[in-house]
Amino acid sequence: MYDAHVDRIYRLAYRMTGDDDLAQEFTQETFIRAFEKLKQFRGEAALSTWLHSIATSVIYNGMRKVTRLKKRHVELNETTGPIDSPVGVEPDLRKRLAIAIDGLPHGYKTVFVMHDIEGYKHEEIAAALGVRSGTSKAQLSRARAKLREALADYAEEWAS
Amino acid sequence: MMDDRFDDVLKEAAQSYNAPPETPRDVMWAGIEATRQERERRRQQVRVLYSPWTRWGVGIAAALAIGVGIGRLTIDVGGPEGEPVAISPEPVTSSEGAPAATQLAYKVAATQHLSRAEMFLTSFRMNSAAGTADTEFWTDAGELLSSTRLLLDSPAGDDPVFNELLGELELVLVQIVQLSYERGNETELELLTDGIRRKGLLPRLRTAIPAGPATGMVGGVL
Repeated sequence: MYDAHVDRIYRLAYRMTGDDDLAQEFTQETFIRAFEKLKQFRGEAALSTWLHSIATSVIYNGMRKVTRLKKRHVELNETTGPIDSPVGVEPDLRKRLAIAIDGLPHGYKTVFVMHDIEGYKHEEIAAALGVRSGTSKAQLSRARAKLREALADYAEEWAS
Repeated sequence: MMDDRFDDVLKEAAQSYNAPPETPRDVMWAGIEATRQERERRRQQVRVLYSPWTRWGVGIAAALAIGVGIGRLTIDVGGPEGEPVAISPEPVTSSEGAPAATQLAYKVAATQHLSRAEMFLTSFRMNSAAGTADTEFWTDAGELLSSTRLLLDSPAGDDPVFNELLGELELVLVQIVQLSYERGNETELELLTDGIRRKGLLPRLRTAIPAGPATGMVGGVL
């Protein structure tokens, strides 16, 4: 199980966190929980789907903690001095896109990363997140709209 | 249409978003094993901690602790700084350490014994002079000798007056008992009676014996 699925789980975790330590931590936690609950796995869904549902839950809960810690860290830094905002000073599309993806709500970001970056199908995403396939599609659509909105000036420049 | 094309551009650009490195499989597997072992060890501790035997043990220990605590609190109510609840008087002891009551009992017994000895020695002088001493008389001598030795070894012997008197009485009684085996030896008899007289044993015995029926006072002491 580990050998067959660790790559996809780790890649998803890394994409969602952007941090190798966090990605490793979440991947390990996913498999530890899977091994503990393996007796409960009834085979109604694919093992991959079941693993991904655990992974998305672990990542979601883990990122909530990380976000809280980062927020606290930023607040501490703000007391010591102002920092330059990266928005507007970063002309490169990839970097602006990365910032825009980071700014997406967690649900939108997950669907966007899984579908547009990692190539998951909507059925897989829906099964992993415990939602309907239509919901996954709708969230992807909204995520893209948010990104276009964030990169509107670049889109106009690109269109011209 | 334009949106779709821009989405394709975004999708292509997004491929570099948090691009993951090669999966550290071995490192993560080692971490998984270590974490699972640690968690299993903790579970074992929890199982032991919450096992029925442990719970019973903890319950009994807690009950004992509470009982001891209540007991100590109850004792402390009697007085501060662990003051004893009841104070018993210190037993009155003689200079040698024997309780005074016991010492007194032995002295009474010794007085009773000396009274018997005085009566015996008085009758000894009369019987020996008349030659009427019988077997019972000599048996009494042996019994008095034994009792004298017992009293000398008892707390009564610690008293200097009694000790000296009992010592001389023992010596005389030994001679009398020896005489019982040499009946008819007039020389020994004369030496013995002369010794009793010279030592003033009978007057000293009478002096040591208080007036009144001492034997009635101490019946059953010895």
